[in-house]
This record gives sequence, C-alpha cells and structure tokens, in this order.
Amino acid sequence: MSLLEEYKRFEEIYLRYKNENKIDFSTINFVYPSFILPLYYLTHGKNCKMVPNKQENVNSYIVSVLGNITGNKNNKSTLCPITFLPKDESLKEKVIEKFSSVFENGKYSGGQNAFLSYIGEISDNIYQHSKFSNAYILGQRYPSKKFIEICIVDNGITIPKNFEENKIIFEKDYEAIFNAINGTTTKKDFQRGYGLCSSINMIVKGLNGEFLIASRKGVVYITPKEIKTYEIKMFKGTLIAFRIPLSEHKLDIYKYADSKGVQIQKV
Amino acid sequence: MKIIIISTLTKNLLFRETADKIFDEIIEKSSDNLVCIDFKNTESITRSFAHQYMIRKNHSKKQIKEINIPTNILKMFEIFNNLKKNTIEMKY
Repeated sequence: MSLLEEYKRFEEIYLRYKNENKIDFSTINFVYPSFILPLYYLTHGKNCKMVPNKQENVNSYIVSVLGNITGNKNNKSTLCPITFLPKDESLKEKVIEKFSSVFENGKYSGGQNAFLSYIGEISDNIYQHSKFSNAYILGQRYPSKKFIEICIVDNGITIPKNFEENKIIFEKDYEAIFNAINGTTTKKDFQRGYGLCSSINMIVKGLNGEFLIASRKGVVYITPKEIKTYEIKMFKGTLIAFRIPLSEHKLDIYKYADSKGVQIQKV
Repeated sequence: MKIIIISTLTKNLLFRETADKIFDEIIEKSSDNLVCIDFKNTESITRSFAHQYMIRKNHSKKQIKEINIPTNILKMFEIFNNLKKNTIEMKY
C-alpha cells in the first residue's frame, strides 16, 4: 500500500468518524504513521466510539501507538512514538536528535548527514511558516518491509492560507502546495523557498522514496516517477509524510541542496 | 578576538532560529569586533541553517571568521558562496 493509498484510507475512516462519531478499525489490517498520526491528531480528546479490529495484534499496536505520546521509546523498538514538536526552541534540536536515534541516525535512510538534513529542514519549515500551537511527529522503521515511514502534522495556518495572507495568487489549494515545493515563498530573502524542495529531491530523487503533503484542501503526492495533485475535503492543518526504502547508500546531499524545484515530472 | 565554540550550543545545525540565536545572543553582544566561530565537533547542517548563517554574517558589522569547519558542514556553506575565502582553517 503506497503512502497515497494510506492517506486515502485515513481520510475514509476520518470522514466516517465525522458522520458516525466512531472510529472503525474493523477493516484495518495494518496501520502506518501516515494513517494513525492524523487520526490521533484530529480525534484525541474527543468523545467517540472505537470499533476494534478482529486481530488482537492490530489492536494492541494501535493502543501502543496511541497510548504512548510521551516521546519515550523502548530501546529495542523500531517505533518512535508520537512526539510533540516543542515550541521552546532550546528543546527542538534534542527532540529531532532523539527521533533520529530510532532510525539509527539515518544509517539505512541516506546516512546521518542526509537524515538530519531532511528531517531538520522539514521541521524548520514548520517552525518558520505554520504558526502552529500543536505539532507532532511519528515514525517507524520496518525491517521486514524494508522501509521507514515518518509523518509530521501541525495545526498551523496551512500553506494555502499562508499564501492568501501574503497575497500570493493561486486557484486550487494543491496549486499552492505545488508552488510552495517549487520555491514560491512568503519570505523575502534571496535564495529562500528551496529548503522543502531540496528535502523532497533528497528523499524522492536521491533515496527513491515517496513524499506526500496535505494542507487544507490540497494534496501533492510525489514519487520518483511523477507528481500527482488532488483536491480533498479538508485537512485542518498540514500533514507531511514520507517513506524511504532501507539502504546503506550514503546520499550526497549537496547535489540537492541548491535545488530550484522538485526534479520530478508533474502529471 | 572572541572564540565561540559552536558545538557547545548544538552539534547539529538544523534551524534558522539557531543561527539567529548565535548572532543575536552571542556575536552581536560581544564587545570584540573580531569574532571567531569554532565549528569543531559539529556533525550536521541543514540548508536553512547555512543560509540563515550567511545572511546574518553578511549583515553583521562584526568581522567574523570560522575555524575547524568539518568538510560536510563546509560544503553546505559553500553552496551559499564565499564562506571558503573567509575561512582561516578548514579542516581539523
């Protein structure tokens, strides 16, 4: 199941929750961060019914993910539990470094230099632009499936809203996202606006991964072969998720650091 | 000359705010006009940190020199032009 299919599955379960006030896990056989984190983010603290899965291991996994939001991980675990991105700037490096340790400091996902570069860049982008009050990160390494998946959500103003406030013109929300990943920025300094696209190029082009951004009513999904854009009903905030196949290849991040756009064809 | 050991603040140079903090809270408050930044033991850097550092350096009235920049950190700075020619010592 691709990252996009996983997001669509989250959306389907979430829309049913909105209509029926219950979260139905009965048909879910496996959950990834891009499914469970937005669900947690949009429903925690709300009074709703849960329909459990028939498989006990799925239920216990969901409980283990949702029940552990301390950011503390078991040393042997391949899961980095739901972790708050702190507003306090003196703590944020520590959170990212701790998160990085679950992924063996990027040993199988581009190397330490690459891992901290793209995860730091994506996090910095949230701090710089989103004006969030709550943001969370969740990730897991899947040794048998041979990939890592990381998901970050924030309840900030979203990319389209940020553009609107800065009078940057676009028609559809997915166009705003597409433009944001290709260098359109609300910041005025020379050479700004390319941090996100350099990270996407590292992950997708350099490490053969998948990348998805949902923000307000738009989704942009990027694979090594294509970029796809979609209109969605609504995501209250911004979600960024990516998957990287496990490999010991050390990425030359400097090839991508001065990217001036996502180097993938849009379809 | 005042020497600032950057790795005592953070070994991973990830955020624009961290670059701002180094300038606002240390470099610009220093009474010395020549400030030396020692990058020894720093491990990683983002494009954003390097960019913000260069912006702040170019806007600062202080004379700022860098020493002991690990190769991987230096390569990122080089993307934003002329750090190399202002560097006293590039390797450790």
